[in-house]
Amino acid sequence: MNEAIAFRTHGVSKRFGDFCALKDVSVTVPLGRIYGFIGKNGAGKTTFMRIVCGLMKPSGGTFETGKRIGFLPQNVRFRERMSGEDALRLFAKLRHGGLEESLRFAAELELDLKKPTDCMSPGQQRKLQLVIATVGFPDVLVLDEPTAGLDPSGVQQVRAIIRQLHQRGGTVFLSSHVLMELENLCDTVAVIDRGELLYQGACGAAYEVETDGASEQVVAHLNDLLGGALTVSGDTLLADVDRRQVPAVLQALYENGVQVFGVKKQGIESLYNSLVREGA
Amino acid sequence: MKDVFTLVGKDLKNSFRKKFFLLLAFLLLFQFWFVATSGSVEEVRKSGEMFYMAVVFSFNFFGSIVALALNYDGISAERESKFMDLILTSGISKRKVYLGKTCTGVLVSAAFAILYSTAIALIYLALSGDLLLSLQALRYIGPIMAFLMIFSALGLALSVAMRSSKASLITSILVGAFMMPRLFVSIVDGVNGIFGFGETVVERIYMLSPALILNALNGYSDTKTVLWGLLLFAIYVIGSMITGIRIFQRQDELNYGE
Repeated sequence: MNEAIAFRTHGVSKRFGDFCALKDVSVTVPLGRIYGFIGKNGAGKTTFMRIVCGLMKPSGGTFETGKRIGFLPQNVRFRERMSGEDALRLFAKLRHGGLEESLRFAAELELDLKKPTDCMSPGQQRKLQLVIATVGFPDVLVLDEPTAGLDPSGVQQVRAIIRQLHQRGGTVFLSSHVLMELENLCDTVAVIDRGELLYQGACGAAYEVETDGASEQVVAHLNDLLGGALTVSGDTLLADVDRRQVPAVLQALYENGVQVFGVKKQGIESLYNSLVREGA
Repeated sequence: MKDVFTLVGKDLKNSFRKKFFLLLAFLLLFQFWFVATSGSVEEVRKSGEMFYMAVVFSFNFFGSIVALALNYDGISAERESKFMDLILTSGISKRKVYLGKTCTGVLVSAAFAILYSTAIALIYLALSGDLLLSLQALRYIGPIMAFLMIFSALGLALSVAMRSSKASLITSILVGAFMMPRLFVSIVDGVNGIFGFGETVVERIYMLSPALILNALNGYSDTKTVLWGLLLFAIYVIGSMITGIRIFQRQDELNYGE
């Protein structure tokens, strides 16, 4: 089935002198998804996001989108002399509309729009920036660490806004260091490390099978049977299979003398750790 | 153009801040000190005309640095605060952003020139009591505005090229010092001593210092000099603008966080 695309990159790379910040990154973001982007500091997340938003030219590769993209950068500081309301009015003028909805969002986030932006707390500023990014209803919202610097209730409010945007059919592409947050919000994730894309797909699609240790021969044998769906990570087997195939995997393990102590759906943290550890 | 006007409105609000009025007050105080200690009120009264030094003496020393201080972070400050990212991802092109900043520079230069000249006229009125003579100070609004516009255009281009406000400030101070007429003239004289360009050429090279363009445009010089002044003014402003826009368009908006 052909899914509508919010944006797609093909073989995107970015060099800063000798340093290669992105290497051949190909990402496809379907329309209407909340798509998480995970990686360490300096992994290339922000560089990739800036390319997607047109703030940076890639050194190689292509980028395609037919959609309007809104961006919330990291570490924005308001130095302008304007109130929160002035800021929203400014961006509504520049984007030709969307003021009423933005004012409503701001009220939901309990923002004091009369306050000068440079006198707002970092959390209030961050919320205002998120509202600014949504002015004019962009089709795709690119959020770089949207909850950084927010208190717990602020984090919840921002999550609620992101879900609301998603329910209205918007696509959200966001990065965060808080893996649990991505697990709660996203249906698809991409993992990047040292400029290379290590994974893109469903958020925790595989199953973790805790065993007493399966030999390489057993894993190879099972992979022959299951079409290469198993990978080993210490005493844990990672089975990238459909839910209905799990009993068959367990049966095969049992028949090959491997003891199973438990099975659970792979979390995003475990996915990230397995990928980045392997890539390190 | 509507977007450009929106940006100009935003920038104007930010331009008339403490920095603007402190710099204006500084130049006025310096000029007032000169007027009070040099006997220029008496000289102006005797000659019946408001001569160059009586109005813009302070510009000869600090004009270039003050003018660059007004403009050195026009683009870089918004880049550093990432406010520029929010603007550029609102469908506004870099050309429009630059055009908006340039228009703001013109309006701020005009406001500065009007306020400065009016204040000087009031100072002379208070000291001499001669209204008509004092009003002659307003004749300098145009040349002062041209002087400030040159540095506004240069400052904006430097702010783009240097990327960071710190680097732009340091470069602006160096450029401003280099452009101070006394230093600039002595450098040109030194170079002329080595190469022997000839008097006419040297006179023209002198005019590369914007304070000397201001002098040329004050209306007392001969037509040829005024035209040279206008030509150099246009070259400075248009040249800086084209250079600034080209550099800006070719730059990535680098991520300062990484």
